Amino acid sequence: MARKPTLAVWKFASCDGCQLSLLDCEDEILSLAGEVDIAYFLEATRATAEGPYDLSLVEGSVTTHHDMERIREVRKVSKALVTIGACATAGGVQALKNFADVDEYISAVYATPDYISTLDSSTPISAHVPVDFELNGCPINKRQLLEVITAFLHGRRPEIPTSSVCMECKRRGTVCVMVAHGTPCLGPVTHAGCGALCPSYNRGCYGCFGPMETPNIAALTNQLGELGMGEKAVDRVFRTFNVRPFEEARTR
Amino acid sequence: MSTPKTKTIHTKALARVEGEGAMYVRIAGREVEEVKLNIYEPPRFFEAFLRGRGFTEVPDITARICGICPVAYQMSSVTAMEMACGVEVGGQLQALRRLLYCGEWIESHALHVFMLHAPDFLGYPSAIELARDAPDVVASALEMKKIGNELMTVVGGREVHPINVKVGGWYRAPRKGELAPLVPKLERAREIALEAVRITSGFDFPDYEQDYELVALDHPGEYPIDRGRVVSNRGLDIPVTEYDDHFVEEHVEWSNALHSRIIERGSYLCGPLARFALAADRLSPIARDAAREAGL
Repeated sequence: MARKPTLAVWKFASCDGCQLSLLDCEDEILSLAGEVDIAYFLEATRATAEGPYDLSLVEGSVTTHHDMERIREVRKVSKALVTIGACATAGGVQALKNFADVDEYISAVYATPDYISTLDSSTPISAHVPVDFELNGCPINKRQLLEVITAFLHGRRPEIPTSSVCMECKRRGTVCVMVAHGTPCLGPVTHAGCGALCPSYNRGCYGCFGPMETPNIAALTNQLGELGMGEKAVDRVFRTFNVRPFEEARTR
Repeated sequence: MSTPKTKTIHTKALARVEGEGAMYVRIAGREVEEVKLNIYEPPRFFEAFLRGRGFTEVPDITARICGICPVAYQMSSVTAMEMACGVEVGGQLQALRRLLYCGEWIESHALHVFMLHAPDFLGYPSAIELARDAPDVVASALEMKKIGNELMTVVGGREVHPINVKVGGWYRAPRKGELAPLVPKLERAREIALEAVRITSGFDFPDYEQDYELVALDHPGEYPIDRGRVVSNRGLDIPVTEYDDHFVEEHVEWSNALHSRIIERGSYLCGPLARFALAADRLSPIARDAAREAGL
């Protein structure tokens, strides 16, 4: 019998939600465990096998010197490395510290700042090592996660649409919250993947999947202003879960 | 008298827990001399970057503190924002919040009991190996977990980082047609949960009891989940707004997680054991019977 491919799951600065998405595949997790050897996944198992690993899923961003070293080690022992979620792909909500004085942040939260060791930025995995595929979302969509794992096991590219949330809204027949209700919405510039969730709950998209390919940010920014959002509110909505890619898209 | 032999146990990465932690234990003879739990999870500075955000944005942001229990962080922050605004969410809107919280408890407790803790009690590296010897137990646990996730998805929009919680209420109430199909599923989940109580009560628990101060919420007629005063078995009984007068969060050198203590008396225990100890009389009759049969 051929050797089963090995899967490893790694955590950096994050909330655990994206790796939990794998355990949230209640109908598939046991059959997945039949197809792959779960060689390293501390949230699920204390058994650890030595690398190299055929597929590494990486959750979380790099925020410490130690993690800068660790991600290089992970890359060395991984044939394919896929980032899962906004932290690993874009730096996550903790990248808000990139705009701030980190020493002030440390002393605002911790009584003894000397005990805390942290970099002055939160950076995506791709800022440190080559990445084979990036899965967006805060959190990721578990169907898309299964597609990514299946694709890598079969040696093909994952089929993950790069269009906007608007496309998903149209497909599910949700009335446009921006046109019909005047609710500010990031759907026109946000990467699809959630299934256009927020508009189906009568609220505007807040961009947790990050920018789509070639978004028209200027047109949307103008429209958000028309709907009464002030400049600061617009800055804030872009600066939340995918700070860096939205900043890059806005200045492009 | 000879000096007792000292040994140390140092686990550099704890498996099957939320987040990242290490454990150091030093034992002299038969006496534990020192225990250090090192939460080395890197700091993310939520308290700092929340400053200057719009108050309506806070529940979406605090959810990201933890992907396994986002509702806990959404409910505490949304309640704080509402208290600041002088708004109280009551009636069916409050009942829906408790329902969302129940969804999180069902999926999170099924995860913790069967996928994170049961392998330790039964001597398996993970629930996947456990499933080879006890496929029905793991399959039922996954079914219960899935139903908890479905409840969160209907009420909150999705299971990880729900999107429907809004300061002042909800973005949209779930429709009757969305809620009704959950009823038979939840009845099935209740059967699984009762069986889970029977299974876990047969686990081999260490014979160890500590004299804890137990802390939980307290609201008339309700098992504590989401609201009420902060009470303990040693006479603490305060509104949430007086928390800082009675509790202090200390920063220790070996851990990024702050240590919370009661100012006058020191360490305390909260969570499921404390809730059960302080409010067992407010469990539903079925849950009370199950607890009694389990020998609690």
